Amino acid sequence: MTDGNKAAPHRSVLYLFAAVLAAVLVTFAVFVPVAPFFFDDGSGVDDTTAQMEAQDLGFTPLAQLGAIPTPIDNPITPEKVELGRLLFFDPRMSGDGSMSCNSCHPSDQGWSVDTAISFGPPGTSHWRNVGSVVNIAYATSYNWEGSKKSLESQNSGAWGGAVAGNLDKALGEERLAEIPDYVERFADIFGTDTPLWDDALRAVATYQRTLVSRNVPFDSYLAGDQTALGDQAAAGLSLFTGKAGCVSCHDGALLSDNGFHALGVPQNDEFLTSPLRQITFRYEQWAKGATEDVYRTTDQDLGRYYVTHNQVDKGKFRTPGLRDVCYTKPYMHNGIFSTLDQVVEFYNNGIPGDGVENVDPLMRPLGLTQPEVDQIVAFLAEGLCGDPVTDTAPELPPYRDGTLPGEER
Amino acid sequence: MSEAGCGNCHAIPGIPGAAGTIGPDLTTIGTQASTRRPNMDAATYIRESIVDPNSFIAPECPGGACPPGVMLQTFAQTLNPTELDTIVGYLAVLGTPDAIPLALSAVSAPLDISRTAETLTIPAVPTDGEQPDDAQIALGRYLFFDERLSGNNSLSCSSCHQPDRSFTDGRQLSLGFPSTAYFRNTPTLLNAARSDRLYRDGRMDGDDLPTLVRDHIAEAHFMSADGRLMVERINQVPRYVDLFVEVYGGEPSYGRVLNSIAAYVRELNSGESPYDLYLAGDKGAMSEDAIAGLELFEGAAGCSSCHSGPMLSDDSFANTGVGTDPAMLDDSERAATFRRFMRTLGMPNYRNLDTDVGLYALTFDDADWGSFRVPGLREVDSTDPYMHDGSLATLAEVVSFYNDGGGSGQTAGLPALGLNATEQEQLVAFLQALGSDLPEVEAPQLPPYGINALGAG
Repeated sequence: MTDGNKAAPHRSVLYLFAAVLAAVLVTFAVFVPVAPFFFDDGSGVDDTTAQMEAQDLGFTPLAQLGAIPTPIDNPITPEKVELGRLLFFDPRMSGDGSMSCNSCHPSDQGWSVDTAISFGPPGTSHWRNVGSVVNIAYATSYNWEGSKKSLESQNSGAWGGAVAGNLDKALGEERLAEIPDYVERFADIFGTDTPLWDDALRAVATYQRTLVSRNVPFDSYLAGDQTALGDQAAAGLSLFTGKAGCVSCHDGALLSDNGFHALGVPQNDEFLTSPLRQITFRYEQWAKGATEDVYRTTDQDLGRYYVTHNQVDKGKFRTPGLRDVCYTKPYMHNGIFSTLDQVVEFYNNGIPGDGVENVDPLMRPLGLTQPEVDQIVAFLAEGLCGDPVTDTAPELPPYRDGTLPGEER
Repeated sequence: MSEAGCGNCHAIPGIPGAAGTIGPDLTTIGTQASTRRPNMDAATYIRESIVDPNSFIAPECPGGACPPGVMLQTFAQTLNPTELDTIVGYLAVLGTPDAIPLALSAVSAPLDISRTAETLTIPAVPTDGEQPDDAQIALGRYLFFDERLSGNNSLSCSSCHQPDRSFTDGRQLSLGFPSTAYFRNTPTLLNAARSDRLYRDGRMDGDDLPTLVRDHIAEAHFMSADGRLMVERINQVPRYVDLFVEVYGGEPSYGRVLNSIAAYVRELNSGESPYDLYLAGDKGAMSEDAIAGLELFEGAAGCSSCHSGPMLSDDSFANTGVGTDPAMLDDSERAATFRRFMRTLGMPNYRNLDTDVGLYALTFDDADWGSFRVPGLREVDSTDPYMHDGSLATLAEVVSFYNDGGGSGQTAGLPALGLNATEQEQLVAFLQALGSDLPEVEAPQLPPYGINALGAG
């Protein structure tokens, strides 16, 4: 569990004191707003039941982000971050040289391209909404179904996947070996005489881990600045942790339980009208190892099921963190909602779409009034969004032959 | 014997063009020679007949009794002892069970052209009631031209094997998948089904065209398509689904895609060339230069020691010293593709490899270093540029290359030929007579994607 202590670099006794104070305030800030559960809010929801659920569910206190978690074999160094940054922006790491990580994760679109369903190489489509890279270091599994347990392995799929980078691993390594600046950097950082795929994955993951939003107003609020949230956002926080129950899943410093839930999000009609989406839909059923029966009959993205092959996981998707959520539209695994208002309204209605199994029992009408919906949106859009994490495309190193990516040869 | 002109007067089995009717027919001379002069064996008699033709006049010539004093009496001077021995040795067994099956004889044998030029005509889009094979070929033809078979929808088979360029791309080196840059010249697909091995390095079996197609669709340096994604694209084309049902009785699959394209490629064959017509008896089918070139091809130039048989290839491998233009690896994209290729074949020290080792990368046999498949020569008039690296732009350059005894480091035993300019031109003229009329192949209009019902089978 993450707490406020880990968030602060301990540079001095004074700073340590501030951190401890912040931790106390975090506790205060989180648990006091739960109070609405105890009062009749006029929603008609049985308060006693609601209180018991809140206790049963429990949740990790909301908090500032702690130190960046790093794998034991991949510590963060400035040199590795810079190499990873170059690789993140380098289209030579796609099969046809047309796409980089940044193509689908552009920093000026919340590191997640603004289309409902992401794209792939020319002539292909992805089949889900692209997730943001910001704060990805704090996730415990990756992509909407959590099939990857490390950021490094996730990146391998992004570079190599047929509806992503479509890059052959050995070809990727040989291309890296043709870029003298990279050869030098890999040698300095990893001690190898030639760039290796796995090290390239380590470098990109390291860069991604540094993309952290720890400056949102809510962080200041957690640190004791009661004015950091406006009245609307503060009220929204109370609802978030109380009546609306958002915190049941969106908890902890990341505002995600890193778990998987079926919400019954409405289908995205693009899968009914777009040949490319349909192609990828069927391709993914096969590529993820679904049974032939599933391949032939499902009209749903079964999410977590593809990982566990357990019926109870059909329709479940990973809970995304909510920091900087205002920048990452559209929302949900299929990008079905283009605004936060629509998202909150969906939860408030509590009516899952047709055909989704295993819908979470928490999906029920919340009885929020319109002002309350607005308050939650204010908390999400204002309280959880600070200055965006940004970066600009670096100058890429040329190939040995002097050419740059995309340059006429 | 071609060089010596024996065939101008004699009919001699196994010697191209040797159908002369002035002197005796030598078809069975090996059995007759020992009967001509008392106490003289066949070889001795034949030798005497060549160096001193008037010492005995053979009894029977095609035109009646053999005329004395007609045969040239200069062979003792013009033939060196080795050449004389060779000719005597060859003739002395003609008609006997010991007759020498020379490679040359295969060239002059009637060609086994099982398909005529018409077979290259692409069948029309099938309608109800057509034969399944035709439907399979027609389906394969669609797929051959369909860029949806490549990873990023940018390439079809026809992108590099262009019908209007005799199924080559006319480039020195194949482009390959975008940003890869392949490192060898695109060979023609014509007659691929008749090749013993496929690819310049022979890494594919000529009897297994579906696997050849698969390699092209899947390889990162060719079409770089995930097979399953490709099949789902096919599944998204209603017309294709119908055709697969018609041809295979079921839905599209990777294997069926491969078989369809292979069926189409099997149809891509040469028609009758002027050379074929010439061999079949139409002596006017080739120019005099070309005929002279043919004689050189099979004689002094020695081309037919490798380029023999109906396809003018003995399906062997040779290092003729073409080597690798070092500039090829100046291009980083190509260098990366080349090194990955060699790496996936397990080449030791591939990072420092600066030449295309060809067959060696498959066998690791030192004798195969730099060896490439001897290509068939049909349609060679229109498949420029030439050699595995496309380094020779014209047939004249190719002939000149061999006239110089190949390139440095060649291990094929190529001698300098010493052909003069006229002779080289004659060889080129012959090579140009190896092309046939290839019907125009138009790219079909491809059926579009449709919309499927999700989860409906």
